Amino acid sequence: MARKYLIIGCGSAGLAALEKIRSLTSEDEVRLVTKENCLPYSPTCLPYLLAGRIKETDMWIGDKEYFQSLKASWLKGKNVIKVLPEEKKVVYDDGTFDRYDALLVASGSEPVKPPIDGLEQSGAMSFHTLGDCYKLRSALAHRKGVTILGAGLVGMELALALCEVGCRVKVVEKEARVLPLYFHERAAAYITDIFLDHGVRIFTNKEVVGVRGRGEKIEVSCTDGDVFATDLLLTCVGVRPRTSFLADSGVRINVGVVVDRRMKTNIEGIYAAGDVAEAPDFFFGQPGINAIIPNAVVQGGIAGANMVGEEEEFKGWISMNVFNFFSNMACSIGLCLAEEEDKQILEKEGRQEKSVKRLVFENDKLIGAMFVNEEVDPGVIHYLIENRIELKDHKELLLERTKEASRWLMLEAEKKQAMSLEG
Amino acid sequence: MKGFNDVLMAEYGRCPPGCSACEEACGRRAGDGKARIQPVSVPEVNFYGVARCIQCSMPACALVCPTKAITRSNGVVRIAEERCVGCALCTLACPYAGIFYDPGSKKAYKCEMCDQEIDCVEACEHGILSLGQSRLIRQHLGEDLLAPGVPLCQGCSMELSVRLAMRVFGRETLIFTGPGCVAPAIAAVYQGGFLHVPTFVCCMTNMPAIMTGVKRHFRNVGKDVTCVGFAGDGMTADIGFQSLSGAAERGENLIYICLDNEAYMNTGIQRSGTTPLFSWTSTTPIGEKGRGKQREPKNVPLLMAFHGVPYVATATVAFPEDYVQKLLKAKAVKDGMAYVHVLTPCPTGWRTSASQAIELSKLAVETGYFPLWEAENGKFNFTYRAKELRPLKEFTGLTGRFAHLTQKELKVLTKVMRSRLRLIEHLVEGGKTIEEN
Repeated sequence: MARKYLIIGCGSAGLAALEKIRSLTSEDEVRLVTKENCLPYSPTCLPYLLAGRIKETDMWIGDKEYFQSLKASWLKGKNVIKVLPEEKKVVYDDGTFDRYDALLVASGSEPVKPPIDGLEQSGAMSFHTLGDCYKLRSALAHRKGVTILGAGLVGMELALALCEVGCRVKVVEKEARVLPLYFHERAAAYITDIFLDHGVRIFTNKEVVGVRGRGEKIEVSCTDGDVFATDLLLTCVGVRPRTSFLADSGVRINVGVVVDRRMKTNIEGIYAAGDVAEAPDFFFGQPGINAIIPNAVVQGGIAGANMVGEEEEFKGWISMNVFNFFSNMACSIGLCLAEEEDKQILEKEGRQEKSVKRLVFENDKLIGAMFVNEEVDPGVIHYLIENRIELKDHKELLLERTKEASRWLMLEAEKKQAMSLEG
Repeated sequence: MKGFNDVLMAEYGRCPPGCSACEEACGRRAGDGKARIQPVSVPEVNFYGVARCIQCSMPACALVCPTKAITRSNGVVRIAEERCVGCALCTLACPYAGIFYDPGSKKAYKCEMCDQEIDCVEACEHGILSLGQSRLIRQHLGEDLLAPGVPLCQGCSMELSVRLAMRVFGRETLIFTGPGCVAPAIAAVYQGGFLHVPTFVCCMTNMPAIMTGVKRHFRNVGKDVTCVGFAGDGMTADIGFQSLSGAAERGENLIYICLDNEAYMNTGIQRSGTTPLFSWTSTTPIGEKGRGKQREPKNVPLLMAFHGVPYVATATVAFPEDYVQKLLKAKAVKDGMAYVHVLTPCPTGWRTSASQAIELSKLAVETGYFPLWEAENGKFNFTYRAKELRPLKEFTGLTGRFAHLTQKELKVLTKVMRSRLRLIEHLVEGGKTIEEN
């Protein structure tokens, strides 16, 4: 008998699951529901849309034809408010409901609103959905002075995009440095310098305590007593998994929806993937959230396979990102911030070029790498970490000639693998 | 000239130190100076090689692209520039150093395989780079035109036979069929069709005649259409043979594919003209008197070859490359009929497990039960020869329809099948010829 798979969310994880399910079964029913009122897109491209790098028509990652070709029904504007695992049902806000045999929660994340006095009333915006992007674009028509709260990746990419469209941008971060999850102090300092060179003012160690006024005249006050005015306030202080509709379902939620290596929750028939899922990490098997696309597509695919009865396991997520800004690059992969005694750390810095290279090893394997303005293939470095390639006495070589040496190590490992396959 | 699914091959670590001919050639060809193929030289470990995109079949770069700007078609992974936002996630996903980010244009770029001459290959004087031709089957298998999940018995090899054939023939084809196992797979009488091309279900007696009419009509209005008929063995060897024989003799330019499961399986496993000697069927039962079919089967492909048609071949899906090659030859025939006889083991009628169709197809060939040969304009050739024949029992032993065979019967059957093989061997190797003075 045909089964019915229901996927909540049409982001990268949801679509990856759909494609996987369809590659394994042709008869079963698949339905995707999204609370958005437009075709599916990835929030990753929103800053670039704002900066005018692409047209909106080139942004959609699925259309009616796509869903038709995959024999999936797709419902937009459907907000799930409740999941009833015993009846295998989900309930929507319009009172309708849907039955399922297996459910994938790929509902993604939502922006965190910082608890700041007067923020709500000031009309501060967040930047997470296409709707936010439109709102911001129309606000920019007559406001040019923008303050961004939070110097995480979203905040920094937004600062870059706004700078590209000619805004005066100020970034306020309460931590001691920008991109604190990805870069250490000196690397962050270079990135801050480069932004400053392009007119983006970044203030770290600065926490906003109050916001006054609304519309085009907003007054921001900080813990250090500083008070400044801005035309527009944007909050980018982080995201959290969108799980409110699971509240009474019995599905275990820590920060995100807790899943095992097969993307299964504690409740039979319910799976989670992507930004909403708290899955084991690569190094320690510790549950955590890694809200990036590469992770979402892998988890979505694994969830899809397990939903139809295949056995596929998640190897664990590795924190990583690349960031290209004003012809500079920054890249962070794995445990590059590790400081522990038992780790071997090799580092190189170029003050003139504002470059940083930091490699972290455990025994003879690479476990983390950080680069600013270095010529390197991020994917090849990721390969060395993910495949636990033994570096023997080539660590110094990898530091000195990272690009070439990493490529050689990758080619060597690939050759070894090909030969073992030939037997 | 680059073919479908060809790949850029590079020998591992054999480059001469200091050579960057491929990189320079690529940069020139690209016009922007940005090389898509790059030397990897690490003198410290005495390694000199190249890194390039290997056009993965499931590209990681495409998987992570937030706008689906990266797609793979015809064996090449391409970037649709207008969709690229320059997020560089693809450079983080690719483990092979095959995709790069350009800060100038704020776009990603990669090797998208040059169309005709490949400059880097030509620039490489050391024979390290080459264009790897994909094998025939990869070059010519087009889109899958048969729906998944067609209503044949579990494990039937007919489905794969039709699927592969349609991937070779493509959309510009008209399909004919008639009553038999294959009709529901293609025409889906009750469900509106499983093939993405026009199909027509004929009577058992007249398919080649109908094909003739359609083909000639299109020729009269100035169109050369490929007309392909799929028929079972009953329709081919018995009920529809006169129509087939007539069309062959008239030299009609049709492709006729016989899917031979060696009995009228669709109606309940009655013996047909191609049912083998001693085989059980519902009309040749095993009992006190009955010992299965008592007649030798017709050798239909040989009969068709003796009509003098331009192309006749035998095939099975256990040898897909051979099968595809023969379909391509059949498709190329323009001056008469092309006839391909495909053995399609039938788990239901042969009384075997559903997982054995491919194994049986293979054993049929390797035991000499069903030799793979072709006759191109009267010239006979084996297309596959095992080093030595395996005993026929390996093939018959797997099927319930031969479960009753005594040693003596097996010996007789072996003798009959061997003599049929000898006949083809004779035709292939040729007896002595007598020339006119």
